[in-house]
Amino acid sequence: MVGSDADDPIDAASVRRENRARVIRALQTCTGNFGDDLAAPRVQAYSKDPVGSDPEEFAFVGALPLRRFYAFADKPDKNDRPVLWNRLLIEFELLGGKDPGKWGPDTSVSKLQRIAEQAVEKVDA
Amino acid sequence: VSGWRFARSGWTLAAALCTGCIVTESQAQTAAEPAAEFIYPAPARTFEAEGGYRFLQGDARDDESFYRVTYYGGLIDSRGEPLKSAEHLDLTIPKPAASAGDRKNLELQLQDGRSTLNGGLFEMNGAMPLRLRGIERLNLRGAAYLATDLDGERTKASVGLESPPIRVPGAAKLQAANYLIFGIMAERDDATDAAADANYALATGRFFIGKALGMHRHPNRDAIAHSIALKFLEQAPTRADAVALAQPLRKINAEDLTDLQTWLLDAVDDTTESTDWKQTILARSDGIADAISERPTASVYLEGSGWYANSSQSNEPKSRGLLSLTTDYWPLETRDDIILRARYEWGFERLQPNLRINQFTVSMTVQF
Repeated sequence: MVGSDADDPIDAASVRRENRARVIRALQTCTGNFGDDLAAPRVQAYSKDPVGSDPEEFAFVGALPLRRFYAFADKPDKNDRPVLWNRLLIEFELLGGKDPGKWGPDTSVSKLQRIAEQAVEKVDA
Repeated sequence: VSGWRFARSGWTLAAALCTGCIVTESQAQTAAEPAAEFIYPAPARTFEAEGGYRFLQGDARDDESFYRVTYYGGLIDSRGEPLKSAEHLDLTIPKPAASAGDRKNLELQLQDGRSTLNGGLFEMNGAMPLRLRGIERLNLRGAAYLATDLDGERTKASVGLESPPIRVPGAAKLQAANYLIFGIMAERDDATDAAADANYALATGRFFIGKALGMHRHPNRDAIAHSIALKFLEQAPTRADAVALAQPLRKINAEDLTDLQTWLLDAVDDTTESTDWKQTILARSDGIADAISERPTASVYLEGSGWYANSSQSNEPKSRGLLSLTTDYWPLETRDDIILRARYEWGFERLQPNLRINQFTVSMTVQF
């Protein structure tokens, strides 16, 4: 389940935490890492247990700008974004979700997650 | 400080927890495709006291010690700060439009120990955006310059117009903050000898290219976290307030939300009515501060300024310029206000265009 429309708020929160891990997996697949040296250990730890992670770690991973997963500060650029978006579609088990654009190196993981979740909702609708 | 990447997400961040602008601000900021942004690596919005040693190159003068006190204003088109203590950051400031760098709105400098300038120099350089009727789209700035030697024997004052920052071709590939700025000014040269006084027009240019290197955890991370928590709790002191605040945000496309709005939604969606709201916001703010507040270990920047004077002064060169290459290094893990600086300067001061500067300086700088 990738949507976040569960009635139980605890379930909904768990789904959102799992979805964040999906975004991390997509980024890891595209870049080969879990973020820069400072971030990687915490991102990896979160990925292993998204639901059980502390709120601080959930917030930390969500606030990371995407560029911290790439070798260069101006990435993901126009060449990288379609690749990452396609990977997100796979992680979110979504076929044909449309990339709304307007995201890039300084977009946070959290925002990219919401963009992907909204794409899921639009396809479901 | 804040010269880092905090600048980017950090400013985007708080953009809109101000209730009134929570929707419109976010939409306005993200209307365009996100552009590459770079940390502005030079000091801004800070006072610096700098003392060091000047190694004079290429002439017979002796080396000398010097001091320099400088005030750097904020970048014109990014009013928050790159290299400045986070406690002074205004988190409500929207993401800067000119995030690849801009000139400062005001620089005041007093330097002593420069024997070639009668012992010292005071210089003021400022600019501010203007909206000139009919040509608003040019985004011109009003600029002013004043320089005098400390003996008061010579003073130059000028006012004029400057272009907004133009990006240096190719600099984006280096992930370097950069700009080119051109201007025209009217200048008054006032000397002790009244016969040497003159008024004339100037064409000016300045450029900057620089890069921050070796990011590490910010020493003021706790202050940053505190600022973020405060912003959250000011706008949403209880979870019920946050839920109410989140309602209009849910109608906005995710790509048009600011980071802070996104994180507010995160906090609401990741908690229940029984959650200790204040406690969870404090914890989340810690996490966010860690994510957005990296700090450079060093920075390198090349600055240049030049001018062409349409002057009839026979003993003064018409065109001159000054180049400086600076390396800043933050040696202490626990403080970001002490900097070791090495700088090479080559060219001419605008106040004394007949005196060549060719010197290497090393100094320790304290920022306030």
